[in-house]
Amino acid sequence: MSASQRQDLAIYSNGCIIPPLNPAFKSLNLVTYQQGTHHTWLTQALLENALLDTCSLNSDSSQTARSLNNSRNLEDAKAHVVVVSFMNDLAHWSKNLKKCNNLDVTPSSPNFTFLDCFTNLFSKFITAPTSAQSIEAQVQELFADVTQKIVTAVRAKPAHQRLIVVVENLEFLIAATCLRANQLLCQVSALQNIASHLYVVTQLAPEAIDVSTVASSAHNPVYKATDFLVKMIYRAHLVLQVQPLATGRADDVTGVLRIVRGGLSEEMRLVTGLNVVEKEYLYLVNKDGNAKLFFR
Amino acid sequence: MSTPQNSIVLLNRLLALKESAPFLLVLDTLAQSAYSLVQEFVHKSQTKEVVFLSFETVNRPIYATQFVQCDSLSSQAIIERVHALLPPSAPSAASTKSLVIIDSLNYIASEELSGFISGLMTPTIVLVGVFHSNVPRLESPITNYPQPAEFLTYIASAIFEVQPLVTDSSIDGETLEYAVENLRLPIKAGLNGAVFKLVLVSRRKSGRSLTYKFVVNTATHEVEILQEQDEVAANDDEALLKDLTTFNLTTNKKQQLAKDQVELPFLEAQNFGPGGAIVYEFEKDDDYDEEDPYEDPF
Amino acid sequence: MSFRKRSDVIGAPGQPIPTGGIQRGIRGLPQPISAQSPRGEPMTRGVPVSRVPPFQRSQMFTPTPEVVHPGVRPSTVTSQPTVSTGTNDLDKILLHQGLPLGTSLLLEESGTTDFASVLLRVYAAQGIMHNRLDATKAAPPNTHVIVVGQQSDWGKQLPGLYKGSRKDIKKAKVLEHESKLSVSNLTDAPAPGTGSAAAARDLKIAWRYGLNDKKSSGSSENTTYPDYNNQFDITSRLIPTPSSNEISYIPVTGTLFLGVAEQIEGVIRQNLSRVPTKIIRVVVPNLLSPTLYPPHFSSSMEILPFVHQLRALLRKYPGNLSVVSSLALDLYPKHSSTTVLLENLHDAVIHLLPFNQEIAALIERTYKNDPTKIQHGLVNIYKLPVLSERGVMDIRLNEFAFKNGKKKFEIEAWGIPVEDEGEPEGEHGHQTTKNIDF
Repeated sequence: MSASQRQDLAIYSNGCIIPPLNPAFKSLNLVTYQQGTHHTWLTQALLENALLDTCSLNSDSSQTARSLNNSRNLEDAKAHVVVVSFMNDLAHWSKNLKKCNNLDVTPSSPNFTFLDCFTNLFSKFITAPTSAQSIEAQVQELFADVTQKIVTAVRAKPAHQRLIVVVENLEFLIAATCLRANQLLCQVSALQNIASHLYVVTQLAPEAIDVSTVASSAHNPVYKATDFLVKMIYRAHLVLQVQPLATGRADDVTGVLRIVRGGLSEEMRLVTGLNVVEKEYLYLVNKDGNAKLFFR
Repeated sequence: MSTPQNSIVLLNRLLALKESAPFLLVLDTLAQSAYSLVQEFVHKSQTKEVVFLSFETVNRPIYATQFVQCDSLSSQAIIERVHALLPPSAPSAASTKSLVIIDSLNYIASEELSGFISGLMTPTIVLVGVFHSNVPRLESPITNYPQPAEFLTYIASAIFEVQPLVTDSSIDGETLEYAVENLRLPIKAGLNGAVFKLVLVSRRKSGRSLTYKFVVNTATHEVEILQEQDEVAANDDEALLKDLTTFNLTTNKKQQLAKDQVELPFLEAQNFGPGGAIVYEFEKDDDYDEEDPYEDPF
Repeated sequence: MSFRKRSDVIGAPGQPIPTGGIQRGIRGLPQPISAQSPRGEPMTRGVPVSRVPPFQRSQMFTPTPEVVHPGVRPSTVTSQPTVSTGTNDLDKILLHQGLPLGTSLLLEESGTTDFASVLLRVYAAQGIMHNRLDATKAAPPNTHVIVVGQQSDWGKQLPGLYKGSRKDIKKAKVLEHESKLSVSNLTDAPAPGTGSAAAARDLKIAWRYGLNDKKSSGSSENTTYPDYNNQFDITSRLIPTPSSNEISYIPVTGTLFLGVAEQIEGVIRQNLSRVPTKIIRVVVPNLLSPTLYPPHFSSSMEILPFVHQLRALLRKYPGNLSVVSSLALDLYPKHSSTTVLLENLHDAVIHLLPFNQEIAALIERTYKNDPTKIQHGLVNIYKLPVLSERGVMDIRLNEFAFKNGKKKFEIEAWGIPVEDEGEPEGEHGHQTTKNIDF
């Protein structure tokens, strides 16, 4: 690839990455990733942008970031960020967020809440994954707990501050238990309702989905996973897709980032005036997890 | 035969809820959402009472006088809520009916769908229900029971199938279908936009259904007939021939019709029937030698 | 005669000339510090503390001896503590020179072969070897192996150490014999010169043999971590067989797969309560094999919560735990949703793809003069620990091939072999002459 110019990440028509607060509008954003092209570099950029309004992916801000030796103070963060993870613990996220403008997140950080739905998922919360009777109640309880913790954490939040909620891999609940997509989507709506903007990060394995299937059983894992993903795209305002190059592995390009309008993108445009500007970036991630964006 | 103008009038009447059509079905795909068309219904009908039954919408629309979160309610509970909000026994003197919008019928189990629709229907409401086509289907637990899509298209008074107006000429139907199957929608191609194609199937009282194709622009609220691909091509040819010389090289429709009806010679010979290409018919002036063993049989 | 520590700076101001005995400070063992030679203090004070990574720091800091595990080294990519899988080439393609602690590896295998079993047994044997480094058994055991779904016979089939090539073994035997003779020679007492010359010769051979031994046990560049990994001989057996305080077997029975995870955690807690720095290697051979696991465990609602629990355990004990599992892809196809999720839950995924008949025949023909070059299959990389989850695209297909030799399991770069044309010997030659002669 010849000297391709480094690009800045911009999603909406006003150039921003995360939309501003709008009391009449709560957005649902879907982030999909595949094996080989993990989402961590993108999700941490979104978190950084939510908290600090900066973006380490962009060429200019990374220089100012490195000039700061001490960790960034989250007292005056631009949003309250909640990360709910079904696949990783806080140690994973605080290590990765350190690369983003030296963000220092701990259990006691202001404006940042981590809800661990991973470590004790099956030892405490979902003790009966196979039971159809208990699963809905257990999932209900799990999410009620999550919601309660979020509400408590933002009790002192000023009204003008956005609440950004990022949920990592909740589709795993559908795969690992007898939970159905509709039941999980209920919980997604509930989370979207309490947040300003909800980001759902989920894996998309092209071999394990089938849109034209006619499943013989409601418990068929391919059917359930596809059901969830398709319905999510219909109700999303924005879809960010991280996927490998069609040609496979390359030394100078890790993968492709696609910015796609979701099924309800028109709703966002009509209510907030913000439009998703569709585009495709190429990106490169180095061994430390730092990423750069390019155009084709 | 209805003229193009008539079809536009029909569409506008349907959108304004002026036709006697109690259940209107909107079919959408991942490439084009029904959202914009539903907005058009609200805009054209100017109806005062809009009940929005939400299975997947979180943001309450401005136009909704009632907003019901249905994802955790049973079908029966939803029907009761709607009847409570819009009593069916209200006098039907009002010129415009009440509009009940269902943002997605995909969340109702196939066995319950029939009861749900008929339970909701009353003479004073028009039901506009959206059904997402790309959601994976489930075999009914009862053998032979029809799929929701089949059932809904069967009972609907009119079917509005929205399709994307693809602005990228490199994307044909097959490419788009393949992309949707892999959940990788093409970008910068006009998908999920405010301007889209609409295939309307309208059922007359006799049961006969007529199909019309439109391009709907929900930003300007304009509707026009969709020009099919070959008609467009023919128009291009005509435009080319017109300005070539001072002679009139074009053919108008009458001339074209006359041309098509001309019987070309040797057409029969071009149709190769079974057997040989030569058809021999024995007539009175021919003679046949019966004693010659090598004479051609026919 | 004076003895100095190797790392000591000679002539540094304020350092008294030592008169005391040999002091060993490098491995962190306590030193005998006498009142007359306060060698200990300046040593530690002189060491610059701030820029030394914690690992090496603990080696030099003698007053507070951090127990350094001989089987752990910092990763060559991320510097986090890493253990060896026992197979040097596998360590290399994982990029960290091993499997970082707190991560898991899934070995997938196509076909009905079971090369993965070899790798798993070596992984377990490596752990046992670390336990047995301390011959005096003064220190508590530093490693424990947990095997899921197998019984004690599995432990009896662990490979023993590679003792060197046949030549080296013969030399060792000869040496043994000669040493016996030289003793009796001494008592007969002919020229003392011959005795000492023989002794000197023996010493030379022994020295050379000793060097060979070190070389053949892998880790040639690792003089800093000499016990990190060993080379194993799969035709030999590990003797004595691992005892119950070195290895545990967890049965896969019961109604809930989660119950198995609970048992594993129980064993982990038990071991760590006694020795908090213990390394625990969990081996899961032939995950979900119908011959070992009850059928209902294959349901995604059983297997996925179980593997999720393993992942949670790995993150709970990131300084102690390591997991390696194997999966037969013929039984659980690569693109089925369960396998996709198993790959998602593991930190590293390597796929062994033995060659089909045609390619195997081609390779055998090409290398028929040099059977050591014959490769047995491809090694495809799908996920690497830590790096893949940072976003690096690590999928490498058709780049590596493996050779399952008796001495070791080798992984090398793969290229389609080109058959040499015009080889005059063999049946080809005869055939052409036959044809010409009619």
